[in-house]
Amino acid sequence: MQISYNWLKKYIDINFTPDDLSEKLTMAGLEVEGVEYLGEGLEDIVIAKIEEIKEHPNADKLVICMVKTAADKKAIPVVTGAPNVETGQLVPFAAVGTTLPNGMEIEEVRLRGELSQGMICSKDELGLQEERAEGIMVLDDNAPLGGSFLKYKRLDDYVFKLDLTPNYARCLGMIGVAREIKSLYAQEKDLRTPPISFEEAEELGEINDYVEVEIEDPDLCPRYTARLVKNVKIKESPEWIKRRLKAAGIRPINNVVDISNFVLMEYNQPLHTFDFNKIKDGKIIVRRAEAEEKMLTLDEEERVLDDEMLVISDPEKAVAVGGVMGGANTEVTEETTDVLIESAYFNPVSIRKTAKKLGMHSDSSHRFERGVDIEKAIEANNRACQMLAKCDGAKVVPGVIDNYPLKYESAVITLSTARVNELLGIELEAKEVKESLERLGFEVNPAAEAGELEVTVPSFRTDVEQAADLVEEIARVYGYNKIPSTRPISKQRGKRNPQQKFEVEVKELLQAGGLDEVITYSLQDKKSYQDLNLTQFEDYAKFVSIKNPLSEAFGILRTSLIPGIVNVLSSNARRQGSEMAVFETGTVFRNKGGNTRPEELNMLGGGIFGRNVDLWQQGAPNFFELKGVLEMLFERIQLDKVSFIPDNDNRDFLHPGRRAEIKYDETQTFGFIGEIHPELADQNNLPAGTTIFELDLDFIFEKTAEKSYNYQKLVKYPVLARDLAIVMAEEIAVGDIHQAIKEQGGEILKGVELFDIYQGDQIKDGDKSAAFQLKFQADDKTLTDQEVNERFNQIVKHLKKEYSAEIRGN
Amino acid sequence: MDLLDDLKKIEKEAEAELKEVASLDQLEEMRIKYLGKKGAIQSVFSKMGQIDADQRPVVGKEANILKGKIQSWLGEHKERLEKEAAQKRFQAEKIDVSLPGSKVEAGRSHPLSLVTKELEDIFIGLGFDIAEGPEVESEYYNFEALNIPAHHPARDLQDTLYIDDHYLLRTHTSPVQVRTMEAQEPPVRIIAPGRVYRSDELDASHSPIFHQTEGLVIDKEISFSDLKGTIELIVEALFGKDRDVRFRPSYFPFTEPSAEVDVSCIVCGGEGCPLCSRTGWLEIMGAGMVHPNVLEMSGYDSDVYSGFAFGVGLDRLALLKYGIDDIRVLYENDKRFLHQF
Repeated sequence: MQISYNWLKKYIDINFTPDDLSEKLTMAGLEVEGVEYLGEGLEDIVIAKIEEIKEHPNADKLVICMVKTAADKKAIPVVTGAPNVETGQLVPFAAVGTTLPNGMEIEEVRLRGELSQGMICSKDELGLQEERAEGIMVLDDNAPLGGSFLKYKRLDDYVFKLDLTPNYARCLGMIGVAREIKSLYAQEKDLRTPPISFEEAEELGEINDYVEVEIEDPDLCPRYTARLVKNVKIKESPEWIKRRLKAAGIRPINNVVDISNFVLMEYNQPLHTFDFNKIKDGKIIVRRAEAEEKMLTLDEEERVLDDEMLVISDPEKAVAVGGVMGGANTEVTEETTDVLIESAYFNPVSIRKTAKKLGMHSDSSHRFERGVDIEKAIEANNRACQMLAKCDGAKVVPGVIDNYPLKYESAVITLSTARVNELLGIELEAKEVKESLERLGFEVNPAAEAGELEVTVPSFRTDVEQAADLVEEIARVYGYNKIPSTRPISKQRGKRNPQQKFEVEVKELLQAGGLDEVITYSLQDKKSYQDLNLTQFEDYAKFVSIKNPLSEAFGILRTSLIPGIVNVLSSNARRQGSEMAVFETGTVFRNKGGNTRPEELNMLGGGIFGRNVDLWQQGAPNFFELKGVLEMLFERIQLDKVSFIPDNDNRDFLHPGRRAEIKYDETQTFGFIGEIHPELADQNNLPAGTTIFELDLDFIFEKTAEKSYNYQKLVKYPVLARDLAIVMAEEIAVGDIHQAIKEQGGEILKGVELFDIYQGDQIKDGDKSAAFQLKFQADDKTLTDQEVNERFNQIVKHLKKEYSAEIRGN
Repeated sequence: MDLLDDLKKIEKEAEAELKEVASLDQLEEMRIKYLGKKGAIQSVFSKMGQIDADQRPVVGKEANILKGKIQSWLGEHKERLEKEAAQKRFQAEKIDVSLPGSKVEAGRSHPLSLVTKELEDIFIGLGFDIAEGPEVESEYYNFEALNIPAHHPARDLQDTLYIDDHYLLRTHTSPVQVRTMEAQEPPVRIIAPGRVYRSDELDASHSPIFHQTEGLVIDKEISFSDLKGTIELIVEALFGKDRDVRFRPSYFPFTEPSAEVDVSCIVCGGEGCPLCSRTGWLEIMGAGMVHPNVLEMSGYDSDVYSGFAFGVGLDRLALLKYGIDDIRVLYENDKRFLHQF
């Protein structure tokens, strides 16, 4: 909705500065998105007269116009190539020093040797039309010589662009806006609705002689009014109408269409005009369309209708989609002489459904959807007749058809002053509440109970349904910003629940481990899963598709955090990031089939590249750094019984020899870690060795007991340390050895730590050596060497028996 | 033979010799020379038999005094030499303290998380709990239960992404209001941060995926005043004391009265600048008194209970707070960006 200040002043005599009005409208709830000065950049353009046209001595296509801005001033030479200049023309002139709206600065120049001291402007140069004009703009003979161009063209106007919420339907018309301003800011001023009077052509008889209106479906059309104007000449509208419409952002077409648009803008009442002679038998039938009924609308599109839609029809054919768009078959054209004007009220829900289904959002449907003032249908129709009657020769057929099967009944709402005060936190008297509402056009009477009011809602307030709506109105009049500020009393202690606390802790631990938190889109491209070969993993292929996606890139909900993380890693690697370590927590979605709600899982994922401290000389520094962070996490959140088991055939997107399932209690897989498959890493611009992981965070939370930090008395007896270096076949997992040592060590073995792995010249090919430090300690006494040796030997024996492992050096 | 003279001589010699001692080895040599079993002092003792008996205690006493003296000289000198040696070693062990420390890089929080956590902590301090809900929602929770019936123009306010005829991606965190009210009796005091979705093309200021925090307070006698006071406190906590706050009428189907909350521009302070489109104000949240229809649909008696709700865009808050001019930057996760926080 776009309103011109000058036009608005026709309805209410206000004198606020444009900035002030903008602020007032916004604070009234009519949010102003922008204010535009129509004369922007035209302040210095004056009206000049071409006194004489001389030939240019050096150019065929140029002439020298001698222009004057006053009869007694010296003529100024202007070199121009415009084909339409003529002596005696009045033209918009930009003198030297003027800046045009497009930013062009006018300077004194020589064109092909001839002095030019200004510019005669075309419409596009003045910003009055988009497309390039053929020649200069020529003004009417009555334009005042030397006068301000923008004043003459009445461009000294501001346009307010309003972003109106659905409850401000009443402000989709100029009168509505003026009424709103009066109620809130200018009570003393009168609302100047246009006085409507015009002559009816008695000699034409009366409308019922020509027109009949039958409403078959009053639920969809509770009121339909019609008037007939004969002998209309279709032509261009007068300048003032065109100016008003342009300021409102509506393109002028011809006098009939422009008048209907003018009334729409003025009254917020959409009208439709038919070429009456194309309506069979002058009979209008308002009915539901038949299934599959077809009609060609004004925009030359063939529409297929259904039986939920309302059409305006004659006995033979549909002539309009009611309230949405007219039909091409009855369009007002240059040949039209008799115009039937429709001013009706259509059911908002029906209009909305129809407009949606047909994909036709029009100025008309926009207003009917939000509810127009049913009681003003005739006034708006008369206003159009009055304006048409002024066009030469037009004759208004006496009388109006008013088919009004479902009469409007005013809503009456009971309002308690005490409740108003309680809800707003203010202290108004019943009298003040009454006054506030009356200012806005509500009728207020005392109710039976003391302090209660009976409020009658005016017909233009289609948005007001219940007491709460009135409370807002009272607050608006009172002023939102005058309402005092208090704080609700609370007996509650706020907190995060255990799972929320857990998530905060997990994030903090991962950050302590050096991982940056990332946040990526949860709408993704199926292709990114295919590119990463993720779809072969069953859970990742359970896509939830978006029915109406913005694009393929946002076509599905993520089933894994991996594509987002890989994307972050590869884009950072491309930007020459030499190393990066990240994690993300977030929801993933898995299709459960049928019409069931998709499963939402809270996951933790991450990835790392660019690390180079190769702890175990395995050529996998990224893997072991990331694993280390996860182990630290598990330890800190007290998740025991975690093991990393080689992943033999589940996740082909990972390096076959460098991937592990992360299991709980050796049976339940709750995640994985692994290097991205080298071929995929290559295709996705990832550095070699990039390692990723993903874990089921809900599962971890469930398995993580409420943490308890029970103090354990520190043992005062000494620790005896023994190093154990053993040689074994290289395919044996060191983790298994580690586990075996722990089991064999029993109570007194308090710690086992791997400190070296070796493969090379000093040992047999196909073997590897692992060195552990074992720490022995008893809780109740000092261990003797003999006790420790016995246990140590038992371990060695076991390793030899189970793994054929030998003490190194033996 | 005058042993006393000998002692004096020994003392003089030792004193002179001590000055020449420059190392611990030399010092040991000197100790042996004077105090050793065959040393100078011992030789005096060994000659005691040759002198008068009445002289012996005198000489013995003097010899012991001298022995003690030399012992203490040697001790002091040793200490001095050790100190010097240590100093020398410390000098040799000197490091360049200007060399950089080991690289310990703590991971960073994403700015969106920072803003979310900051808000959460403020609200927890005000007695709010944190509530959550699914991102895939039903029509009922996302629209109907929030007083947005089908075929109402209010549906145009939020372009929705649908999964099928039943489910959609929640367009706001407001469904959590309804879920909370269904699950508990008043009083209610929650915020519900989370991810939301709209069918908005991605550009510098729009993203189809963004984050909001919903707030909801329901109890007896909750007023618009309470809403104002609470929001003013939040704005102060987030943007400091110097910001002005204004409330202006607006429309949300699930609140009535509804308000849009503006703060004076954080760049120009209200003078008008490009950030605030020269208005001096920045729109930061929507708020209002919970619509009676919403209360009733969730089984609360709207004659007894009232409440307020608000919704704030966390992405927008992060953009404003950190002066970021493009929402897409938040989701690019460039390391250079992440490491600014």
